[in-house]
Amino acid sequence: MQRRPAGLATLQARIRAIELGGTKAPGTLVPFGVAAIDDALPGGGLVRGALHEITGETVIGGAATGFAAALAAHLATPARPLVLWCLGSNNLYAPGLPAFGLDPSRLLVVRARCPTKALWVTEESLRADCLAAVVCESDVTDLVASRRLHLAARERDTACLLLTPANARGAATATTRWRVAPAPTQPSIGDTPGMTRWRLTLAHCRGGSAPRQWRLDWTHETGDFALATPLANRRRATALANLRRAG
Amino acid sequence: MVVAAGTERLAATSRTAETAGLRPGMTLTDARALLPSLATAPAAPIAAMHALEALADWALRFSPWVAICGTDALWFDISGCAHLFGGEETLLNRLLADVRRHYDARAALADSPGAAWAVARFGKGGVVAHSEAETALAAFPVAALRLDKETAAGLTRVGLGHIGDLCHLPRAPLVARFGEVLTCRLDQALGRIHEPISPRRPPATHEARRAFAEPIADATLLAATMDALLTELCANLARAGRGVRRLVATVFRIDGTATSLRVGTSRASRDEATLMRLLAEKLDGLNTSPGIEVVTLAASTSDPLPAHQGDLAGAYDSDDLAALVDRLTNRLGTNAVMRLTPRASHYPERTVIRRAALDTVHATWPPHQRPVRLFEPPLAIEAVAVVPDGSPMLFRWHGQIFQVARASGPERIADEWWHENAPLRDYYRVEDITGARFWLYREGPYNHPAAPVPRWYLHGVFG
Repeated sequence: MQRRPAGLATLQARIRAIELGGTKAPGTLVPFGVAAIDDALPGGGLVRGALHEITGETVIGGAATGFAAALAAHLATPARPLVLWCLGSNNLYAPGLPAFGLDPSRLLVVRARCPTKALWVTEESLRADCLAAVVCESDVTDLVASRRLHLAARERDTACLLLTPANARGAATATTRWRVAPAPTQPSIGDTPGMTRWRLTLAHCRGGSAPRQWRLDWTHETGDFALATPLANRRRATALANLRRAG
Repeated sequence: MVVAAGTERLAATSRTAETAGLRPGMTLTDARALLPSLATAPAAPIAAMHALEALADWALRFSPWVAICGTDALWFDISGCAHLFGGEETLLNRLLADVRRHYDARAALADSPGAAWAVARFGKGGVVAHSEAETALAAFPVAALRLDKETAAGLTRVGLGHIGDLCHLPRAPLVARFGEVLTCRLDQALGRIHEPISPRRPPATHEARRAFAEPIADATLLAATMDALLTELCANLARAGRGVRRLVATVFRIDGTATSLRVGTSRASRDEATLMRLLAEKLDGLNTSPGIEVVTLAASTSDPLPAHQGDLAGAYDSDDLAALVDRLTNRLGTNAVMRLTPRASHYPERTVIRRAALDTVHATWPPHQRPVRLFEPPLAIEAVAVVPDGSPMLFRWHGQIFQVARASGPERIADEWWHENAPLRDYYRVEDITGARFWLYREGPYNHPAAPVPRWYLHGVFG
């Protein structure tokens, strides 16, 4: 009877390995550095060689773009510093990217004229050995196409980040699917906009627990993710404490 | 038909017209008098030249040494080529048969270019046997020596109407009377002095070629042949210490058409796998029917490429990047793949320059807070501000109302002084109640006489 839990654990591990994509060992795990998010991901981090989908929640997906840039920069290593960005629209603005840790001089930008070309560019780039991540601004609804992208990403341990609009149907084979919306920032002096804050939803995670939601801060000085401190509830918490004292 | 000095003249005639007595140079009125049913079209010398150039390119399958002669003829230097086609006679007949599918043509083969020229134009064409030029040319008029009209007319006037009359005359009086060009042309035609032919384009130094016994139409077989040719070419290049910059693969079909596929690399390469991948993409859409008989593969541009040892400590393999960029640019065009570098300008639209993908860039970007998406052109919005020259309180875009919770600004951005009349802009970073952050600007200073009601624009969104 004592051996049973161990057997169960082995089985679970095997199931997880199968869920993560076959017998091949999963690629590099890149932790977010935020315990709450890493706990929700299987293995304690984001698998680099996989397909990840990032969807905006508003029509103008500024927050999703920022998160994608931050994630791409986070996945890059000195051995693989380059990120390829396959444009769907023509309005990506390079001077805004350094704030998310992505130096535009490490960026290779490709303009694809149609979604088919964008898919081709993404798959070709994923099979190159020099890139850390490929960001593709295209909605991949085709099951075969998204499977191909996933396999290409896994083969060379290059992250494939699909940046899709709010109304996208989404790729079926994505390992993780994130929904990113802006969140009101902490009021700072003079009531000016403060640091970047996202309401991040892990809508789908293969082999992990989903959906989960966090408020995530991006500190561009240090280039770190951090959970937003729940300042908004302070007043209520104080009120509750006062009540308890009065009671 | 050409118009010269106000008169319409015939530039070229068809064989039917020639039987009716029409000749190039005749005026149109005379021609119509001789042949009332004459159909004419304006002469197109440029198009004709292009057609001749295309024909010269096509003719490279017979000899690598093809030159254009004047506006209506081609020279071939077939030294060392005839045995590939089963002799001179067969070569000439095959060439003529192929050309005659599209054009009316005559051809002659002789020891010297001059003799071939004369026989093709004034004789029946065909092969002039070795050292038989003098006999073959003797009966031709002197114009067959490529002389100008005055010299030819002068010779005829003194009774020297045929080439045979000139051959055995003393040289000195001829030169004194008609100039050195006459004896020179005569010697060239008879093969006594060498006349070089400059090929139309220098034959590629590195070239591989395959001729099939039976025409092929199978794409797999063609790809395998290309692979074999590439191996041959790369071995050739490795011996010479060079790498391909531009690769031209040409397929010659049995119907006399030829197609060239061009592949460029961003730097010298002789890596078979990389080059084959580039070629394979171009081969995809190639029409192979009705069959391909010859395939050539040439490195039309090559650069020195010494043997290379990989960098063990390198940050990443730059060969991989170059190979990727090549694949992308060959499919999408050179401008589609780029690097971005900053440019010293205040106007947000002009702060980014696009560069070639393999340029190494080490740039520092200005530390301003800038959006991640910039709309070009800026989107017009309606905005309400608390104080006339203050930050907006709410704005409307596409029928949707955004309530501003926080704002910072203005950041005043004016155009460079050398651009006249561009209004200055007051930029605000604003955050609406959902937390979305926008970059708005008001055009022109408040209460400007030119625009009493300020105009607002949404220029970008922050991440």
